[in-house]
Amino acid sequence: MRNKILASLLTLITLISTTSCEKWMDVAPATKIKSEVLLQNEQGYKDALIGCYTLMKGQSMYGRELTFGFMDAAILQYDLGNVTSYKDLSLKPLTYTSTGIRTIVDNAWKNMYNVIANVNNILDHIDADKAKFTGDNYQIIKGEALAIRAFIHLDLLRLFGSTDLTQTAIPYVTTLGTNVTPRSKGEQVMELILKDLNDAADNLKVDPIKIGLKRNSDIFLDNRHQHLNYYAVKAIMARAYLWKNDKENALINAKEVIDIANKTFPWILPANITASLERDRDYTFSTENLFALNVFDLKTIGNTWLYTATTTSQLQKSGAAAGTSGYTQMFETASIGANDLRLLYVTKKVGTSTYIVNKFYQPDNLRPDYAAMMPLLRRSEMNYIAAECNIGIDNQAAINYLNEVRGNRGIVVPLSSSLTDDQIRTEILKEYRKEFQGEGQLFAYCKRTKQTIIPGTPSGGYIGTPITEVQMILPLPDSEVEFGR
Amino acid sequence: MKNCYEKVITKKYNPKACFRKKSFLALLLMASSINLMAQSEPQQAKEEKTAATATRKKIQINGTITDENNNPLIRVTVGELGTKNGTVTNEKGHFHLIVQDNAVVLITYLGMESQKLRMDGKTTFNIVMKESSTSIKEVVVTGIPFNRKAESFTGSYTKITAQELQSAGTQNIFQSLKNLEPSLNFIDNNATGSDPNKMPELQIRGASSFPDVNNEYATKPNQPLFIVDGFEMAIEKVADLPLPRIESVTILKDASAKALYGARAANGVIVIETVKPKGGALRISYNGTLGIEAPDFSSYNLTNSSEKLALERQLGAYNQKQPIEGLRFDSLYYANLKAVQNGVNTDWLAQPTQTGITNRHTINIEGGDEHWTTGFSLFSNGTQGAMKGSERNNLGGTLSIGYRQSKILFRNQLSLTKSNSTNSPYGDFSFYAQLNPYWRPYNDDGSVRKVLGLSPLYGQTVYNPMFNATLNGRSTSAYTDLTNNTQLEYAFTDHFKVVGRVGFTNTVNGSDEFIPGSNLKFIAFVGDNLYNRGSYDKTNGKSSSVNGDLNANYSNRWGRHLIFVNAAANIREDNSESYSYSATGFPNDKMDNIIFAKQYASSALKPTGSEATTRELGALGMINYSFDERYVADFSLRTSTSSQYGADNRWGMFWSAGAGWNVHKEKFFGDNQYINLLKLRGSMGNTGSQNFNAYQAMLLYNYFVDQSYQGMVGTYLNNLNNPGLKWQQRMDYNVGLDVDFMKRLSLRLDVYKGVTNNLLTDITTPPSLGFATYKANLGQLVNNGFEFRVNYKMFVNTANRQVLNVFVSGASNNNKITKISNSLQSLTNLQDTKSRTSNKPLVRFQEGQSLNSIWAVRSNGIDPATGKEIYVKLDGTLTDVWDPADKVVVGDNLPKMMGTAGANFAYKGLTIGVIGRYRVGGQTYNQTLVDKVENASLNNNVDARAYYDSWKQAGDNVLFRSIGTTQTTTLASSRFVQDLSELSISSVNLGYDFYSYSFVKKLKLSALRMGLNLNDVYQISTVKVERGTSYPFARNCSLTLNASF
Repeated sequence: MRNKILASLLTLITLISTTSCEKWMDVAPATKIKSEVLLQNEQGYKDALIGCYTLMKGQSMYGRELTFGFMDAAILQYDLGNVTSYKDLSLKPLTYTSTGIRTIVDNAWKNMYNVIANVNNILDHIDADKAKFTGDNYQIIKGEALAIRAFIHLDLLRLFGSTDLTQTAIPYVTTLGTNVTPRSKGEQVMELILKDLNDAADNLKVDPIKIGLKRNSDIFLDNRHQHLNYYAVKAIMARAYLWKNDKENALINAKEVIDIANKTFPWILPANITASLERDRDYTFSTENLFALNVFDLKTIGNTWLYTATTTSQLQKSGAAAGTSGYTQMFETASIGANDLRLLYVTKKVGTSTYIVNKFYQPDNLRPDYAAMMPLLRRSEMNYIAAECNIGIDNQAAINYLNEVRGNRGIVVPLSSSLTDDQIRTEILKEYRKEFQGEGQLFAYCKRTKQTIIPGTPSGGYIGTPITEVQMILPLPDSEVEFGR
Repeated sequence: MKNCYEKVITKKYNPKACFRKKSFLALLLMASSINLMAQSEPQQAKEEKTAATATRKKIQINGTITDENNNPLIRVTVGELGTKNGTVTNEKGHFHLIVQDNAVVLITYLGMESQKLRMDGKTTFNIVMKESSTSIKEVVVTGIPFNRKAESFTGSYTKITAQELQSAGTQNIFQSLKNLEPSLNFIDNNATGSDPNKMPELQIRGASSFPDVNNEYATKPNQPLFIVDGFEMAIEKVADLPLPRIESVTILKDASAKALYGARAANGVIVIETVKPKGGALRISYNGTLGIEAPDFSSYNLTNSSEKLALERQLGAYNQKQPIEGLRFDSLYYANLKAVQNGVNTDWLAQPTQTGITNRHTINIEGGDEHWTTGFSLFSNGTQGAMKGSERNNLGGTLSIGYRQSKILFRNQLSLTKSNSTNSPYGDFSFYAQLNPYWRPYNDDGSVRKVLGLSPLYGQTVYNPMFNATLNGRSTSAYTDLTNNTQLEYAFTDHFKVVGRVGFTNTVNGSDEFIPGSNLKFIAFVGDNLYNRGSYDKTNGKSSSVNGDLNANYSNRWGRHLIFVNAAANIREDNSESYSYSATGFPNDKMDNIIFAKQYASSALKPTGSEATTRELGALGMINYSFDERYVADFSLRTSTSSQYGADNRWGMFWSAGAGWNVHKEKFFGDNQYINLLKLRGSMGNTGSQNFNAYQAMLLYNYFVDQSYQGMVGTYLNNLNNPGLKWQQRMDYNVGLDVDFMKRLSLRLDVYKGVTNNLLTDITTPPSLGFATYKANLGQLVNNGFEFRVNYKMFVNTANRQVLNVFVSGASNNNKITKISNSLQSLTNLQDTKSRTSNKPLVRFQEGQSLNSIWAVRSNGIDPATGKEIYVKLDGTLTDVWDPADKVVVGDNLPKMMGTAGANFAYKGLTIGVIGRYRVGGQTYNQTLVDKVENASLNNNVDARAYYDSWKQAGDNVLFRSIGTTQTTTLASSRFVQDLSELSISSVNLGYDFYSYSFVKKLKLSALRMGLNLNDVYQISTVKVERGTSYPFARNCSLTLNASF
């Protein structure tokens, strides 16, 4: 008896003192999964990365607000008078103080950094777990994760930072933890963006897209244009360098994409947009997408805000308003634009003279290749960047880049070779408006190029005074100012 | 026994009673069979033994037993050890008994020290029994298997005996503790009143955590730890423990006392020991209580129908400018007036309430021989609350088996408890307090009226909330708990013992709430929404806990040195999970099963639930040394690890040190006859809290459940974790004094300070971290206070059981925030914003202030000229604009002192006890004056003070603003802060023991006792406020019968 008790006493003591008890103390929740358990294998990393894209497609981010919602509303590409959620943006253009708008802006910031936190947790652990990966998946996952981090930080910089990169802008967060990352100057942020993008490109050298493969039998590697692939990274670099005003490097990166684009990201065949049945129309020009988010519920979202929306939520624009603010003026129907595919097919007339963006329209049985896509990077942007970089250096080249896009959009009249630098810039702005409607790119373009009026508004603008950059810097959340550094 | 069984089942013939009947039967069968088994075996053993000792001689012994003053003692138990053989002394203190010639006879008497007699050839004994000095010989029950002698204990604790507990109340342990122990602060819940299905909220020595604003805690943040027979128990189960099952309650208050539970003891520990079966002949005892719960409306001061109508007219409720509307309101007035004149003056408070009947029965069967003891106990508790239809019914049984042989002691206790609670179908009591007295609840044919009338202000239809009670609605919850505790003790030598214990408990619980479609709640559901009428919420859950510990104890004495060493290791795992789902659309009231639902509720489209697992390991070492019984020292060290804390700081270290000086043992005291006890003691040490969420320190991922990307389902981070998260600790300092003067007057005094460090709070982050908050250890709270208890035995005469005992006790605690986190600061800002629209003072956290401070803007009262309130700004200037920035501390909810005082008198079989509770000092915000007077809506019934004391015209120098016809919101103002002092007669107890009557013996009873208890008899308060707003408070009166066979 005595021995038995002593033995059991010893057993308990051993149990307590050995490391197995540390394991026992690690409780596994039943409804959630611990990070270290998830990231035990390649599948866990894949799940975490897919989770990041899933977060990005949320409506408070690229599923709506940062594309066709808040972003385009803020730069007044809609008539917002009746739209409850955004009408404050037309009552007081370029101010973000009303509760509703402030909430949208704060949520965008919070959610973008939340994606960054998710990506950082992958990046914090992936190097140590390199041996767990098969094939090229380590590089692909790491490359994409770095690219997401850079892409979102670049958008944060474009929205919440000044174009003057010597100003303090945003925190560039590179690890998950409770230590607060202080806000850096724009140039430091830019440096980190470019570093991450270079790393991403390095890792993505093994991307199957480099040999032109978008599709794959492995579901994770399928539809490379819906992941941040090698060329998407190059496109972000072109965008970033241009923001930095480093035209040389912007051009190099844009050209790398342009060079392979006809093979891998070919221009849309007119037949694919003019098809008689709506379900056969490729509204986003999907072959041209360098990166588009898969938004599986785009039909619901589109219907709520555009296609079957009520008057208090429909984002529409009147066709021929007085002055120069109408939709038809934007497409220059009176001169060159009457047959623009983007007007005829990617825009829909509702009512007598109001138009809505048709890009996200998801008719029943829409071809799966075309469905549920929210384009974030497109080959046409590379042409515009290349054109802008050539202004003053080789204007003819610039005009050629623009004509290439115009030709593929059904504008048969080419731009004159004698355009001045400013005229070329004007044409680029027109293209941004026509090409990226519903994609939220115009705001950043206007900010970077220091437009003094909001495009499409009467001369002098709604504001009355020329717009200044300050009005295009979104406010940081109060809690970031109060508790951040 | 049979009687009581019938009493239980014949109570009601409804399905529930049927169920009760069945399970009661089953338990009874189980009981008798087990008992038979337990009995049969020893019987056999005994026969063998008698055979072996048959050759021994029997002798007759006799003797006289007296007390120290030579008074004969009556009914002293004299029993032969190890047999059923025994007797009691007669009126002259004489006894006769035939025993074996080598027998040992045990003499026991309540309040006296037991004695053992060895025959050694003697047959006549003159025995003098000594009064047992409980304060000296008492043991401290700490929940570990080795009890400590009070004399060598340096901690601060209160021990409450079964007798004290039962004489202070019959409802449940908390009701009784409230009347006995001032250091237990029961937070008055004015809303839930005496609802039998609501658990009390209590604190020991102040709040050691911030209030649970963000649901950070798994239980109430300041709830003490309940240890029943060595194992932790949930508060609900403690409340359901039948009082006769409880042997003693010990409240451990300072570091030295609660050190054993180091990691979980920061909020204090309440150790409960249940009655253990005793050996000897088969003994059956029964305890039955029949009582009533009568609603107490004495705090309500509502207007009667004529006052109310007059007030409405006076304030212009019926003055409508538009002619047609005016006509409508005129006719409404005359209709109401007609009702008043016809004598309609409905007492709405009485409509949903009743005098509830409670009945509790406990049967205890025990017996055994020198090796085996068996005990079986069954109980049933049926409580009807003061609201009609509100009930709580418990049924349970406990089977205990003990085995002892030389060095081994084995004990197993298996308990099953089933509890069903039902909430009143009448809904919230406050609905009724609002209804106008000129409305009639019933039609002439006695049926409940659905529509009461039109509201005087806007002419809207007012429905009768009683209508809902006529429908087939249901709001019930239930749990079934199975607990098994096993203990095995082995004594290697007289000095060294090892005890291992394993406890297992499993609870299955669930709740159902069905609101049928015809309920008034859904009256606005028309058109397409019609089919969404009716709702059903269902929750199912289970929890289990496994605990094991191993304790080794060594104690020895060398000359004047006494040492007591204890080492222990423990392991524990808790699991819990619950699921709930809500459905809507029950077109027909008869379709009362959730499967008839049309769909999930739009607010909860899918099932929800939670799950938690926590694990803990710990080791403890403690040493107690005493020198010459004069100097005592205690030291303990505990280390614990819990899965709840961050991987980097999972282990927590807790320690305590204490010292005591028994001054009365000093030589210079000599043979002092006056001072029997004079002990100084002090202790310090720290303890931890563990009632937090299980997974707070982990970095977790969630799976998307309704989102995908390219057909793949991803994961996303759930939270930001803090691997450095460590234990929240409370440092306790205590100095105490125990005095016993001439065995008559005893005094206990404790002064303490408790500092909670590393308070676990949320840290608000900049959102660039990806998340809004994370958990960290920041913040500090300090509690200071003192407690005392004075007991005076005015006279004791054991011969005729004459005792008069008076006591007074008190406790004072004050609380101060010394450090707060930024999230609490933001919360305070948020509260300030909210306070602009709130008619209650909201809690604020500010360093240097108390958690219980009342924050409001100072007020100079109502300007008689304008009827507007005059506020005092921070800088002292006057204004009529309320600004949250002008808020200051205008009072403190904590009393300066609270406690109890009482007296017990016993003479022969009669005992009388009275206990009163008092609180002095401190303030309260009189919410009744705000809700029912100044912010009262004329549509509803109001406090009579709205009729008499509110501003009506210029020149009125009154306390309250005009209530007018439009409802206003009175923002937090010092005008409503009132000094609160209370005195309540909380328990009156009358008992009679029939020991001296011969019929007791004729009925083959060994004891018969009856008692009458009154609880919450009367209350005097300096503040007149409505008590029990959602559920009324009740007075309780009960009759108890105790019988042993």
